[in-house]
Amino acid sequence: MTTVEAASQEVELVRGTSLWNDAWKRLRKNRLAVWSSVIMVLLVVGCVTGPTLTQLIWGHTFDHQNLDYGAQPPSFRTHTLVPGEVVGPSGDGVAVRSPHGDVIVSHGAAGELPSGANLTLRRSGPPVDGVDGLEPCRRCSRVRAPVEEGPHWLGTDFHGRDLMTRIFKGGQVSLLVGLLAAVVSATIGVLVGSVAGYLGGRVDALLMRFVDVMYSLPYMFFVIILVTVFGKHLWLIFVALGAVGWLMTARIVRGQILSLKEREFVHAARSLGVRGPAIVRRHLIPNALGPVIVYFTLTVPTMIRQEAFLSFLGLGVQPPNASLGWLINEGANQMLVFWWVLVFPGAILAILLFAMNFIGDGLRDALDPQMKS
Amino acid sequence: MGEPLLTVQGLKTWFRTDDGLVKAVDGVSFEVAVGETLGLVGESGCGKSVSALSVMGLVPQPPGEYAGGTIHFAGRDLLEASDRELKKLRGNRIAMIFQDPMSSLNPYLTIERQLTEVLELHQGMSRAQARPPAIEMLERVGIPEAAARMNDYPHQFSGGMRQRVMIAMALLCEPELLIADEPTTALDVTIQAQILELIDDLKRDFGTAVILITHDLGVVAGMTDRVLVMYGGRGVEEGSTEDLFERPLHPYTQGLLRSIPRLDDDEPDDLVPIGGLPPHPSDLPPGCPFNPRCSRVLDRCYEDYPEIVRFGEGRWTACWDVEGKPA
Amino acid sequence: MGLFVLRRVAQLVPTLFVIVSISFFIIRLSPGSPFTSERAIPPEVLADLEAKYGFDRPLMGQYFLYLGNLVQGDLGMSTKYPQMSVTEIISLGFPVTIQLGAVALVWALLLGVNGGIIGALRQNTKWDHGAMAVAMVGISLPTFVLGPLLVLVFALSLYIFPPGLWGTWRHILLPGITLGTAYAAYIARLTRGGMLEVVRSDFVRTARAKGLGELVITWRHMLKGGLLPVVTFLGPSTANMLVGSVVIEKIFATPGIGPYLVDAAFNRDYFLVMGIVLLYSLFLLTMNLVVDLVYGFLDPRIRFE
Repeated sequence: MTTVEAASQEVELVRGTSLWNDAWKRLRKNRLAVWSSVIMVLLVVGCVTGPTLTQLIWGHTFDHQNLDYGAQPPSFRTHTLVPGEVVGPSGDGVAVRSPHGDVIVSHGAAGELPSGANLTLRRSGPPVDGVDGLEPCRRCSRVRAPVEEGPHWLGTDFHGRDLMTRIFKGGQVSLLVGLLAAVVSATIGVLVGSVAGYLGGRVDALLMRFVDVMYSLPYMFFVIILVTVFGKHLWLIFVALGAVGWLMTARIVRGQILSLKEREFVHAARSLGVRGPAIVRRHLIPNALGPVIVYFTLTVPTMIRQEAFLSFLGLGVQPPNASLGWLINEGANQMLVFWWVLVFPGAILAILLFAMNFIGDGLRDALDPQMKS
Repeated sequence: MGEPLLTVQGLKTWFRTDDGLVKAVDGVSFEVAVGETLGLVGESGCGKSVSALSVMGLVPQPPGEYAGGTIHFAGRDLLEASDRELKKLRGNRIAMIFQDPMSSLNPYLTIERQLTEVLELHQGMSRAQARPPAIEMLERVGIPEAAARMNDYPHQFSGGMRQRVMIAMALLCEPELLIADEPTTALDVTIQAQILELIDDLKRDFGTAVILITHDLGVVAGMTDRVLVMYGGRGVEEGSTEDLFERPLHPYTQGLLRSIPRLDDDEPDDLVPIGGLPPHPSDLPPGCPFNPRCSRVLDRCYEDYPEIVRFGEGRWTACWDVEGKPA
Repeated sequence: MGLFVLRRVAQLVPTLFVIVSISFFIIRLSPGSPFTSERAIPPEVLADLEAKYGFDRPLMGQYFLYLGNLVQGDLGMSTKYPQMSVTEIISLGFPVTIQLGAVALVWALLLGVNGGIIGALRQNTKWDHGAMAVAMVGISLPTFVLGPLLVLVFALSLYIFPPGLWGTWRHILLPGITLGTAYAAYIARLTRGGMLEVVRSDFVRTARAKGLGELVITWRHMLKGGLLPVVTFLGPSTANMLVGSVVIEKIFATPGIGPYLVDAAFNRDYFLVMGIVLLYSLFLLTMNLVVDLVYGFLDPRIRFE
């Protein structure tokens, strides 16, 4: 690196750190944004660890149906399951089959059960699909043993699946789709925008004309078409969302680059002999980054909402997988009878979007103080 | 000096901002007599515009607040007056024109709408009734084909023409006091002279008192009867225009005069700028705020704000270094 | 201005042509056909069907046939609803959707503009914070959450409005409000932002210096400039509202165009999907033109060139 380049980079660094420091200070003063960040972290941690935790503690999984247990209202109580039939010993426990054929393994109740025993078995493991893994039942008595079922804090859905676990799982899917779709759209947008902005001229005109035309299209329809055409696969959804959602980012980046290109420090760098790609990399992109970050944080909730929109129409993720939109769809169909299947997923989605929007707003105010006042 | 129209006594206009208390105006006093022209001169941030806005009652509250002093206009205390009373005065008996005619006219409304609404409001005319006097006033400020241009929007006028429209708007109700806040700063030099001349003509015709706010002593020279020089939120020197130019007392005034070229100067090469920058009103040095830039600074200038030293009727300065000097 | 409108209308044609072409080939080059999903159809019947819709021709031939029919105003026949033409389906559903959208728009403007004005004029007071917090809830609460919740409360618990279907004004209100609320929230934020730009502008200070009252200053001097961002937003969002109505119509069982679109997408009803996409594109482009005209009306500095 030449001294000139080093010097210009150093100047950039000084400017950069103070900008980000200021922004950070302003952001911390914004109480709504801070609380939203806390809520956001809690939601993310909850969604990531939630399904594992509920499985470890109570043995709930997001797709385990328990028809004895359909549509239970939210409760903290540990419920008693309909008495089951002991299938046989399993490891240090016994396997019990419910009337619906579902096999539950209960640890710590070793030994063969006498006929007619009245044991309370605590479900401590995940349900097993078949009895294949179990030792053969030698003296299979038709023992009716009540089994305790872990509590369903947010109730269960029509099929007896634990709603809380499903919401966590759905949140995972929604967050993943939102994040990846936003990454896809931001990447395409930054690439197109910086190319158009930096090269200018005919390339710029062509790209931006394309963006204009795309922008004047009903873009959700294109997503719907893409999804119906290429199937309802989870990965395709965010590619479709991202591929159509990059337009605004491209416009923002282009605008930023165009205005930055004419600033003194870029002229200075160029007159000092710094070459094109270095200017883009070192001067233009870092300085255009603020608006991109802001727009990115606002794109994530948009994408989450749009995935939910598609799922609500039945065009998104397919069962037994669940996103928040799909859960709301299910909930809306059943809300006449069970309010919680609608209210809880709806509330979680709303809180999620709420927090993300506030964070995005806070970031915008912090990074671009002129826009606030 | 004639009968006072406006008397400002010890005015303090402060702003509570995130960065602390800003004493933009901190004890300014001046008088304007009927038909008289007063120049308010100083660098940016010296409080001259805020003083004018205070007289108009246009200081946004919060963050602004009137921390002390009085403003009497035609015998009435404006700081005590109700909102209603102030609205009756504004645009009617006291009018103001602003620095930037580009942004001070509403770009979304026709000139007619912006002119006639003043007469509708203050003289109870209908819009149709207000049209002829509005056209007349436009002609008077030198807008050619005024009647045809009434339906034009501000962007269809040049900068100088826009300032003429602003002046017409301000004079529609023939106010007793016109406050002109840097009326020529945003204009081309050739246009500046025309606008100043226009203000000068009109003030004679209407007998209007004028407060001319400017950072440019050259503008003041030909226009005003008296001049108040401001620095750091207070007045530092006042006198008749002639006297102040002949015998400036305060080192700041002297510096200002040395930094502008003069037609009667034999050696145009000895222009001396004042060193340093004007202080930000939130961060004034203790004692005399001019002390960091003063060439004649004394020890007590760092401790106490100078007392006012009077040299006759309407002639004073606030400086520790003028004792015993002849007026 | 007449010339400007003419030129813009002329520009619609190539844009629509691009849209038609892109959607045609995306839909056609995808695997599957309208007749694959159903139970097995005897080959001879299938051949008959394909001949009826022209699917037996080469793709380019079909494309030009479609374009030719389009120019004559023929959007083709639906495959999902074999007795109906696409035009018939659209004329059946679209008026309902438009009514729904109109109610939503009025609601959004009423709520949004007033909320935004309050926020801007009382900036950083509890009125402002309250209005903006409500707006954020409106933005964050998706229609498909709000809609069922409103049904739950107003239709199924309080029995004030019918939970769905169509007919009287009472049927329009709940779906209209559901659809409009998110837009009201955006409009409130935009109005507030636009008004704040204007509130501190020099010309508002001039208006105050003239002695004008706050009401006149707000309505005469500030609103025109303050609403410009809202107008820009209204073009695409009116069209987006129609997309949003797909969900609303599902929730409230409204007989609009939305259910047809979902159905068509699920069943690969080529002509129906194309027809609806074309309709929405045309609507969107028209709205953009209208917005440009309104913009020019509001801001005299804009020239129609």
